[in-house]
Amino acid sequence: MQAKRTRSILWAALLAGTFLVAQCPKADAQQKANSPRDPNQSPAALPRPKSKASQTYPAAQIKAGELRFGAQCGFCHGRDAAGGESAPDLTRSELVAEDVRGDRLGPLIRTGRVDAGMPAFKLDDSELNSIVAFVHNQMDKFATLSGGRRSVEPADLATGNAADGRAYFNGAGGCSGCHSATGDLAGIANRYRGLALLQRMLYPSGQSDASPREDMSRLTSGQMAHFVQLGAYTDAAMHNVYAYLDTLR
Amino acid sequence: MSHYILALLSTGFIGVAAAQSVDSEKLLNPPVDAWLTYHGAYNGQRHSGLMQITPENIQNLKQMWRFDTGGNQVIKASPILVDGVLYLTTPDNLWAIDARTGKERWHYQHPLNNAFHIGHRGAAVYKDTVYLTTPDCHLIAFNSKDGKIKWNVVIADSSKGYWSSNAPLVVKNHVLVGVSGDFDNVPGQLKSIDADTGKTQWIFYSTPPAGGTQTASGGATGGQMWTTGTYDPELNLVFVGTGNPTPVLNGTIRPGDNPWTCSIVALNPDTGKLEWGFQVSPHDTHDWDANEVPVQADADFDGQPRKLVMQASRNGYFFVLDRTNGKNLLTAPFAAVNWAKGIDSLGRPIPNPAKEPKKDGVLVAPNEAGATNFRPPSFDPKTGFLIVSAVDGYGIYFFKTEHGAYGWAGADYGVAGKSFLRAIDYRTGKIAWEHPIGDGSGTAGVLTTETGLTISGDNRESVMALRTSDGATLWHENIGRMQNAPVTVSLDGKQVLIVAGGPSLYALTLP
Repeated sequence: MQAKRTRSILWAALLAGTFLVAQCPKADAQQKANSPRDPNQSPAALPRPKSKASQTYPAAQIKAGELRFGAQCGFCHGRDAAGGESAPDLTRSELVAEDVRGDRLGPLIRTGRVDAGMPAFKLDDSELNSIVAFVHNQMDKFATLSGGRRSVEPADLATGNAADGRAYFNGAGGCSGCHSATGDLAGIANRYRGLALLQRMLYPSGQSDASPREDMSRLTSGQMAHFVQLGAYTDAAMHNVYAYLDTLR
Repeated sequence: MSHYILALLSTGFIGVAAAQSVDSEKLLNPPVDAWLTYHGAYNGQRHSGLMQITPENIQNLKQMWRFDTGGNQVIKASPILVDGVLYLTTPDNLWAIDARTGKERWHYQHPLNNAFHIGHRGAAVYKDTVYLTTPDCHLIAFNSKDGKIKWNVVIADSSKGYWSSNAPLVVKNHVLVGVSGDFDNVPGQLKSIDADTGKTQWIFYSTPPAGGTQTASGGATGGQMWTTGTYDPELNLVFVGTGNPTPVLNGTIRPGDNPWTCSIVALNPDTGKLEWGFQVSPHDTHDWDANEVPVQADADFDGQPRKLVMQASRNGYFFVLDRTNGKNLLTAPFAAVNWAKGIDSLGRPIPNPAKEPKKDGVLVAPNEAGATNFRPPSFDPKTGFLIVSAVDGYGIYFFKTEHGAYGWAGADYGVAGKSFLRAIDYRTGKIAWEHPIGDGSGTAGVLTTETGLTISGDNRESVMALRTSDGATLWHENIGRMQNAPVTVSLDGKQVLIVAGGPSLYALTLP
């Protein structure tokens, strides 16, 4: 399918907003300050968020929003707003749940999240409001459904062996060269669950240092080490290390 | 500076220049003052013979004009230029722009529709007509002088999930148009439309049409032909890449190789008959369309003069085929790959079932965006390098039965990527040089010129020029993110580089 923009490697960053990835050896020190319910957690791994304020919209406005959403947002977020090629399921979005008549969504849509691959959209108020109406209506509609068509649940990922993962972490994987189960990773599984933990384990995305480098890469040395490791993992080793990290609570 | 003077000059030139009729002969031998087809020439090389802009003087390029689309959509199109007029597209929009001044001549805006507006690749021209595909799958023919609509036909049913971003390919009186459609299980179709009347001449189905009894694809739908192919007039064959099968990530429901998805197909443009097909990704389960440009070259291979067609494909492998018969001559990876067990006797990578999407996830290289994508590469005949925007990337792929068997039918997430411009030696498949362009996926296409220039873009919103022989950096300038390839023409005796960055189109020339 046509995937066409700078894309989903920044997916996790998009969910996370911004936070710094510290250089090795204290790779995860920054996250300790974060609340247990980190926004980086996979939305699919959480109970569906509930709308903060009940909102109803005229049917004609929802219909107009469906049209515009399909055209301009649907490829990435799905025609039904439940997730598409590269962007999250909005029916499970905390931001949508907190939004009241566009107070949160409006500025975001107009500004975009350019670094994460979402462009800024120039829309007049009526166009914007119709999109807001459609997204809220979809959230309400999906709240009555169980599961998620494109979901990845924490239980799906629990196929590895934690003891083998620990051995890999301390041995072949070389993870312990930078990380420590009692240091930066203590309680990591309380901060990240399911897909979010797996994604963060594979590649700690987020903002890196802003200064351009000669080699065009903005990767930190820690990210570089993770990138190299992506070429070394077997799927079994990946699941084992995930299982091990999932015990660090 | 010269803005005003050029505007004055151009008025005079337009007055005296005889209108070019874009006939079949001209499409076969495009003049230096025009860019008549998506790739500039039927062979898809995107290589210009113009000699004014050189490695020595390219850093002196100055802006002639800038055209802003002003809308939400960035430019992902390759412009067409004929008779001093540029035709530029974004979804729902077609502009005719004076190539000497950057001023709008006319503009068409298509009515709002809910088909996906993710990008548009460009227009096509024939005689005095400009052709535009729309997201909701119309093909509209305009009078090139004033933008008056001649006819407007529907090429596919957008309510079934089709949309179009396609730049048509005109061959003789055939306008070949493709569509997209990955979120629904719909057959892959390429249509030939009569250039004069808008009537359908033939339809090629890459997967069987709905309601029929054909089972060749193993139950797969999809295989959409959404990018622009290439044409060999001697063989009278059009080469087109086909997209991934649907359902996309659920492969269990569609056993076998799923022909002709993820393939290069050779079609007779007069009949739509399949001459041969070569599947670059048998039984794809990773969304790796083989829609990348099938670039032609007439060159020696293993000491024999051959008619070649080559593709650096989204699945991470580079293929060289004999285009007379589709036989494979070379298969070699050009980016990080971990999904194949080996290469079969036909030259096709053998998919490793262990790397199909799983309930607990598998780590796969490339990621879904691919080792490359629709952004066109360029072939430099002098060095024998196919220069392509490549990514070493990883993604995690999931499928469980709850994801079903319709449309995407699974979930996948990109993990990380590093991108490069890579020069692939067509004789060996080896990387002659690479130039890092940033993290994530690149988006810029490539133009090479006879003076040894490789012009493309990086992930930092710059257009850049490298030396084709060794990849050394010669020039770069910030213009916004490039999403297609630059083109170059000679206007009034001066070579002009035309390149889009973000929502703007720039014309650059030497002082």
